Amino acid sequence: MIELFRRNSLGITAVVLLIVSAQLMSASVANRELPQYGAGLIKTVIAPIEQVYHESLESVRFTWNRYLWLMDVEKERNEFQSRVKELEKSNSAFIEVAKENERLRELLGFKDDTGLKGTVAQVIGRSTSNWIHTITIDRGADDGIASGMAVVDGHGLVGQTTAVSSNSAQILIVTDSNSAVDTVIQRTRATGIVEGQLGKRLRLRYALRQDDIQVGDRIVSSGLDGVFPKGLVLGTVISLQKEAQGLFQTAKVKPAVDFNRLETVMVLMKNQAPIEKENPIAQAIAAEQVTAVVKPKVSGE
Amino acid sequence: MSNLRTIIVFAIAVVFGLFVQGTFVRSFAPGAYAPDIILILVVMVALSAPTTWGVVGAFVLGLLADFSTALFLGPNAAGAIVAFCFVVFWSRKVFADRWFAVSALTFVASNLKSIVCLIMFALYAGVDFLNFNSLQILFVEALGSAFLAPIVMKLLYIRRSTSSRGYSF
Repeated sequence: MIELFRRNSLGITAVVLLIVSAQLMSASVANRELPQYGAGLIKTVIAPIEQVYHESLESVRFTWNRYLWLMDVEKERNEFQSRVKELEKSNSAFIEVAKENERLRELLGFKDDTGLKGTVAQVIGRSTSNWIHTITIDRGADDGIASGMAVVDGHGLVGQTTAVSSNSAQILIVTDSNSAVDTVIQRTRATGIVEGQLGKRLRLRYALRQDDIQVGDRIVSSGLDGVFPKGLVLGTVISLQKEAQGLFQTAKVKPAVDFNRLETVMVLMKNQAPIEKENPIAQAIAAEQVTAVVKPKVSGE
Repeated sequence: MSNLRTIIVFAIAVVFGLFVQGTFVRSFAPGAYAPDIILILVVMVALSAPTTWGVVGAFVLGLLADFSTALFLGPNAAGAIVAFCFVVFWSRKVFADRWFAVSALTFVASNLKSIVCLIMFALYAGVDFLNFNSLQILFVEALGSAFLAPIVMKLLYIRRSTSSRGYSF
């Protein structure tokens, strides 16, 4: 028996370790905190390297933009002068839109009523796997960040924090195939689940077949999943798919955020008030008027 | 001492590999599919130490890759074991000291590892992976790994040749 084991020790060990791997997978699906114990340690080791690399890259970019770029400045000056004139024209239109937007925000109570607070962080690392989409930020437990916090950028919802070490945190972005967000269509308030897919895409599922969903509809978080505050933009419907039978329809969604070019994000602290207040005026405006008022003016300038 | 040095060099290679295949590659090519440096190290272990301890090493490397994703434990570990066994089996039948043989072994091993990962994602997490995108990622990742494998191995083996003690692979 011992001789048999010795002769096939490699194969037997491999089979045992495969079984262990399957058990670990099963355990980590059941307990999502399990992988985070070791991840924190790995992040503690890798995050400083990523931080140094990030800062070096920024320095190189700065040098390039500020000094090397000047070599061509004479050539480009005339071009810029003509562009400045054009931009001055369009700028006045943008200022009007910005002022109007500010007024609408105040009306909606974005500024005072919701009181959303967060920690701004720099993206310093990217996913080590092609199959799992994560990013690493330069803020961690020392800055009050914990697992399961929503992360946003200027355009919309980015994801949620998973593994957190003292000085860095990992964010599972919404396009990961293990991510799901409870959402509503902003125009009609139809509900559905937005899931990530391989290839950094989003898909709306479990939207009732009879619900009114159209291409171009904006999808926002519903706040019902307890992780993401209500009203964070996920993306826009780009195509719809209705099977001949079945209760639901699905839609392809274009993410609002360009995940490949994320540089700065904000981690929303827990126990935040929802963005869309339970205020009938605010809801009506959020659902119908905000995009209608702002968009045509921008595109029409 | 030799074993300790091997472990230290390998630990540095793992940390460096995780950094390169994550942040480094994607800072130059946002959204690109990066080569799997950890898999290259697994192939290297399989070629250098086709033993019981070697398969344990491959398991640990895979597990570290799993920890770095902070989502699931097991898929990369299982994939690394399958890739290790494949390389051990085939390295006896090909001239594994030739760069193209190493590239070919790495290419197939990378595909095997990814397929094992995807099967585990599908079985345990219900991820739908039967689509063109998966094939694209699979192929590009394997191609990148196959291209880099001889270079990474050459780098690590050069160090070995300059050391009087050498590594006990």
